[in-house]
Amino acid sequence: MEGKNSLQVTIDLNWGIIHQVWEEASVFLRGYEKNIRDDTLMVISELLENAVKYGEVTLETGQIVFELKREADWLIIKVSNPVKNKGDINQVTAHIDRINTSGDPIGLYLERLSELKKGNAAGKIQLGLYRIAYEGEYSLHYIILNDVVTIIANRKVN
Amino acid sequence: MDNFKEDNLEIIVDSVGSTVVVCWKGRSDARDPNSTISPFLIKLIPDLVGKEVTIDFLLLEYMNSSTVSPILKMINELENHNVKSVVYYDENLKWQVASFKALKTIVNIMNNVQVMPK
Repeated sequence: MEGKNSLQVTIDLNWGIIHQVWEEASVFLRGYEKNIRDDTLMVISELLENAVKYGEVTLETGQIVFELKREADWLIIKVSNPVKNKGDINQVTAHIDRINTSGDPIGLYLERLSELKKGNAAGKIQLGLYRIAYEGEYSLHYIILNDVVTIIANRKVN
Repeated sequence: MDNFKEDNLEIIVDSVGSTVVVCWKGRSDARDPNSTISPFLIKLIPDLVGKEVTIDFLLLEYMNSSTVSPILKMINELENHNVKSVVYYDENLKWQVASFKALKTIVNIMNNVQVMPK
């Protein structure tokens, strides 16, 4: 990989900003093979979409912080955002816990698709985290601190 | 039949005789595709009854996970209306293979809709 080892951006609740971050991340990832680049850009988009949809950004709560970095053999993506309600935090952590305990991201992804097909998935679609694990091959972790949720996605690239 | 264009996504509907090609082009990254793409796709269905339909994703560069729901809804409608349909994806694009292989598993039991690589 050429150039700098990290990209950090602070963003607001503006949907259009996701594409701008995508463009910047594309430049950051220029030296990587296409599949890793596509997977990583998908993961970035899914995490930022969640942050913009469910985040709460005010002067008091702070903003959404996005970071993409390379550490040794790993690509690491971090997205931190203040959250609107505890229910959203619980849903995100439940999905990630499920992915990490099942060890079967494609099974979970298919299960979710099947629910969507049957029309049993009222409200939020919530396919993105399963897609990150299955299609993107990224591991997911989270930190909750003072009503700010940080989602960390990482993947070995060498 | 109308086409769809919003932000970075175009859905081009081309009808020749008894065949209709629905071609997705660009990036599907809208915040709520269920409220934009779904109504367009569902409105197409009556005009597709009795035709052979190809849904072509080869020119689709990216779709967010929220786009899967409108695609599934359309596939369900095609199946329910007995519209013979083939969904094509790009077998050289890893993200399309992952997304559409999963979709293929889900539609495997359908009589009228097939999902195939190209």
